[in-house]
Amino acid sequence: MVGMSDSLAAIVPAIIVMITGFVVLLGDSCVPAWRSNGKALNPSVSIVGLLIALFFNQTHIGKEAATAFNGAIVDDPFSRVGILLLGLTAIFSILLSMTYLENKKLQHGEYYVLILFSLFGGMLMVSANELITLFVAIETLSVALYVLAGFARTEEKSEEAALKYFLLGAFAAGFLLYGIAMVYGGSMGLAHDGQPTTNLAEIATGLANGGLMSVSVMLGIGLALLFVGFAFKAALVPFHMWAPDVYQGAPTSVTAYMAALTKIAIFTVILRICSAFAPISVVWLNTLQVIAVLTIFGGNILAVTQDNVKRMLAYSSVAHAGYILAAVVAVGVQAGKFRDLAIHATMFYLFAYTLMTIGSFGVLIWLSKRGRDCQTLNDLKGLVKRDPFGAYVMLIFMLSLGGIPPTMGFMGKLMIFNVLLQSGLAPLAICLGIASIISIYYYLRVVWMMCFMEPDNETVSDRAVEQSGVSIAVVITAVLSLVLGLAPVIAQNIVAPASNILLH
Amino acid sequence: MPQNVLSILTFLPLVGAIILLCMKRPQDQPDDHGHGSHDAHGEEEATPKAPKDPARTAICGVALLFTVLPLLLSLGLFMQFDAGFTAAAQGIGKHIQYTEDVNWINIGAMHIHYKMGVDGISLLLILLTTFLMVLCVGFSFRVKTRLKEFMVFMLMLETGMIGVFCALDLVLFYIFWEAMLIPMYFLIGIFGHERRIHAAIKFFLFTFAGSIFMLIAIVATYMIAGSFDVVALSDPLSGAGGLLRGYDPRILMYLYSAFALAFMIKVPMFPFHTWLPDAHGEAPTAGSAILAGVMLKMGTYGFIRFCLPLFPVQAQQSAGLFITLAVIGIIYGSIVAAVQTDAKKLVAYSSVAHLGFVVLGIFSFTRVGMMGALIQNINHGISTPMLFFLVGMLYERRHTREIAQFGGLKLVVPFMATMLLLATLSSVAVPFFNGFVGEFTILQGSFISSNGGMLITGFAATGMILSAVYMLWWFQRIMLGPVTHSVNKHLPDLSRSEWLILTPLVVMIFWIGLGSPFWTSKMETPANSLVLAVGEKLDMSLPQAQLLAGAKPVEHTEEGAKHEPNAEVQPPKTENSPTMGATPNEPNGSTQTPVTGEGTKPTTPTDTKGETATPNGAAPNNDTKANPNTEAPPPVDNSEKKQEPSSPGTAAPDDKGKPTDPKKPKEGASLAPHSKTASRRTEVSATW
Repeated sequence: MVGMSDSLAAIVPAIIVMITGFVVLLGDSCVPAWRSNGKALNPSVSIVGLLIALFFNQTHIGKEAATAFNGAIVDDPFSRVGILLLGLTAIFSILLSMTYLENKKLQHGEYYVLILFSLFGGMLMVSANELITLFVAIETLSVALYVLAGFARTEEKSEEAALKYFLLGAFAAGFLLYGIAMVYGGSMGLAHDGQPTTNLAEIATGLANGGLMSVSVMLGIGLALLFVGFAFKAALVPFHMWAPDVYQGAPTSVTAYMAALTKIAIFTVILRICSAFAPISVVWLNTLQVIAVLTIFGGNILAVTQDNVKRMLAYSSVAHAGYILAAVVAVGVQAGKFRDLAIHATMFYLFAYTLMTIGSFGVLIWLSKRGRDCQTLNDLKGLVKRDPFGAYVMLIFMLSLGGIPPTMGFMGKLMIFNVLLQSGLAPLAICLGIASIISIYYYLRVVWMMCFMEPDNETVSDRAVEQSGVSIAVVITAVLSLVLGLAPVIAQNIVAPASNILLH
Repeated sequence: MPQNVLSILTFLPLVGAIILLCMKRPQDQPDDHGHGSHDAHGEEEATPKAPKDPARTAICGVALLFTVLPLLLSLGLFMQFDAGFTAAAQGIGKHIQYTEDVNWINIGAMHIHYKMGVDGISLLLILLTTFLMVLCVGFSFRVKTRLKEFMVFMLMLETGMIGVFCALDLVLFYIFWEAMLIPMYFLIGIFGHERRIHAAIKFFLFTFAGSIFMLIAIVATYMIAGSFDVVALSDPLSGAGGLLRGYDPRILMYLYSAFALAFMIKVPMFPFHTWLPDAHGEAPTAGSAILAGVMLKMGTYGFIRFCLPLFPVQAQQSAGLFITLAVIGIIYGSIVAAVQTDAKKLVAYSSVAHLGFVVLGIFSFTRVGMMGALIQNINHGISTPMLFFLVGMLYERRHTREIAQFGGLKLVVPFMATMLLLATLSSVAVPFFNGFVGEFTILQGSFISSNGGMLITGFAATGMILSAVYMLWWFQRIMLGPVTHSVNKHLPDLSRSEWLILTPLVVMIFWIGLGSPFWTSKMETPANSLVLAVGEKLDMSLPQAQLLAGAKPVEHTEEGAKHEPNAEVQPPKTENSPTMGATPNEPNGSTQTPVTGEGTKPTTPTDTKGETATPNGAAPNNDTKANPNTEAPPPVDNSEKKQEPSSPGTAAPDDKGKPTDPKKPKEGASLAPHSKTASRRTEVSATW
């Protein structure tokens, strides 16, 4: 902590997001003029707030790292990249929501407030450098998401999703908290003052300096419980059971947001934890590899049989979590020798994943007609005849998810392969390869439903009334998925600072 | 030619596709038959009534323009391609011309380049692509539904295919290789026949399954050698190539297998061929023609461009397996083709057999065999699309592909029958036709190869007989005899547009059949140096092999001198040891070079081809050509030029008896005139 400024400046972007949330909340409930224009005003104020926050975040890029709250919060290039990705996710989601809420008659100001609050939680997660703070941040994010999942109050599925998400989330929180306590207990002797600590920087420094003679059982169990908690949040097999139900039940715009937001937040946290604990990677490396393999195969195999696109995308997001985890695992190989490469690949893939997830859910929203979601494969039948633009945009996302060039998903996969082979995790790379063959089948199934089949009576086709929000988001994500696949250097420059993770 | 001519050539069709996307969608024509078989009003279909839909005409015009332009451009490239330049260059990968190289993507320490370039081998395949593309687009003017999408996909496909043949960076190659699948998936899935979705997904999954492991192997290759540059990796003298060859052979075998698997699926070789009948059978005509004409060639091209130069030792080790699979493919493909009732599937299975020949030629590791494989690659790309076009024309008239639905059509559509006969004979590899040049050369290469030999060649040669069986029988069932179905009595003959599509193919069949050097001369040098770099596997007990080896020391010493520093990481050299054994016969080499040199000049391509052709005029004669190897040889008449093609075969028994004859040089010299034709045509050119 020597020579590091410790001030609130480190969390300015998060504070701006928080303030924006309050502004929208108060404006929507207290100002009648605002309320009557809420459907335009709420999202626009939110987006403006987000843009300001991101602007501040980007001005920090290149600056020296800073901390706040005695090092509990850190503002390092790594967290700045995480915040940027989270912010972009939120902006795209708000664009999607504008259309979706209008269609579903769910226009309430609280929706945007919850989005902003969960984003606040996510921003704290990527900046948290201390386990208790991390826990608080995770809960901030989660609680907002529980509510969002049940936002379509009149729909049973949505209610069910919220409850499931909440119960399992609470369960995971228990694991997490217990794990933190164990790690705290096991960290005796790591901090400079010899006391136990929950500060990741101190733990990392202590471990790197060989402060731990031998890994205590308590620390091992603590780490295991910590990872169980993360695995629940990130929907890694075998802790993924909630994901399909929640993804399917939640309003589609929330699903898109949730899928991308939690992945970015949790994986940046896992990256930070893994980097900190890289010196004792013997404890967790093999376990995480096994989880990665299980997740890659589990997600892909389960996705094959799904007839509901949202459910299929849920399983596919489980599989993608596995891909990302595989890259994260490489952080621990040879005590962090490949850390920079692994972080780079992870962040790039998260970026790609964000674009394609938001995009593919966005197309579903685009196609949803008033009151009924476009959800099943059947709904997509013959889409190319009714709406060629929507169909070909969906094609781009499916190819990107499947990792077929020239899309960003392919570049991301190439980077993961690169990391895995560099760090000697070739078996993981081969598993990833086999699994992506399986994944091609169900992604292409969407394509053939859209392009090769004739529409039947069951299909939902009508375009929603007001499309501007979703079309902007879908077009931008589609173009980016293609352009960044051909010129990944742009995205690489964005995520490159992330390798500069502050640990000491 | 501008500096980035290959980029222009590659992306020109894509530009066309984008222009098409911006154009007005034409009305679908009502009399589309969907995907069922309707016999009711098949007759009206034959002459598509030119609908005066300006949007339609515009789409067709733009699409044609953007296929003709690449054709002209690639023709220009071909004419301008400097064969002398290639002759001067040594080693594989140094024959590349029109190179472009830009650093494209950096991932950590990994640099992906945008590197394009062609040598004689890829240039001819590009030419084949652009040529077929014009015909396919021309043929597809009659597509009734979603014409615009069809053309867009065709043009995108063309970009992908040309890119595959131009790319000299492994990742760039992979990107084109994969990107090309998407338009093909759509062409099959949207415009195919009844089981099109099944066929499309099967096609995609099979190819993807192979190539994802190739991607892993590509990245792993980078870990080892530090480069994606195919030219550098192919060259054992360069840093990257040296590193790659010096690495743990076990790992290299895995990498080689991953590459080979992708290409085996694409070729397709025997156990992986099951996607092909589905894809070819269900694709629309133009799609089948492109699939057979170009896409399958990418598999063999992959072997030639990547597997062999990058992993020569592993390629040598696995040659036995590949040759066995190739021969199984030839025989199995032929037998299965014979029992097909669906005309398109029959042609598809015949591709399995023909591509088996190509792989046999490649893995014979002789210059003759390699040259034959390259020629056969092109041949198959001409005769099979022609067959598909004809089947497509029949389908349009009758809306069925069942062979049993036809019969006696020669009486109704004589010109079409003639065309079909020409295509059939080309596919059967009858002399004068292009197929013969390739298959005969391949068999010759496999015969003199120590990987092949008499038995393998004998088995492979049965494929030529079997091809006569299924192709001629097929022709007979469709065209000969009485008209069995009354609907067939009033089929229209070839329309003007159909003439326009078939004539260029017929011209090419005979041009290659009678004057192949015009087309093949530019790939001779790269092909030869590839084989020499991998290590030529000649069966030194055969006189012709000795003759070929005799010409080699000239090349070998040059190469050898350069290779010396790397000798320990140059296992191919050990493969060359038979050649080294022959080197002491210095006079052998020196006397032979002029002889072969003479052989090159005086004989014009046309008449030699005719001569080699005559003794094997009819299909049954293939039998006699193959049999001398296993049975009693016919009397050898050295003065009779007609026996020349069989000279390796007939001479074999005498020679085997006295393989260590001290009179070897003399014998070699006396034999030289015999194999003059064969060797001249294929590889021992004046450059040696």
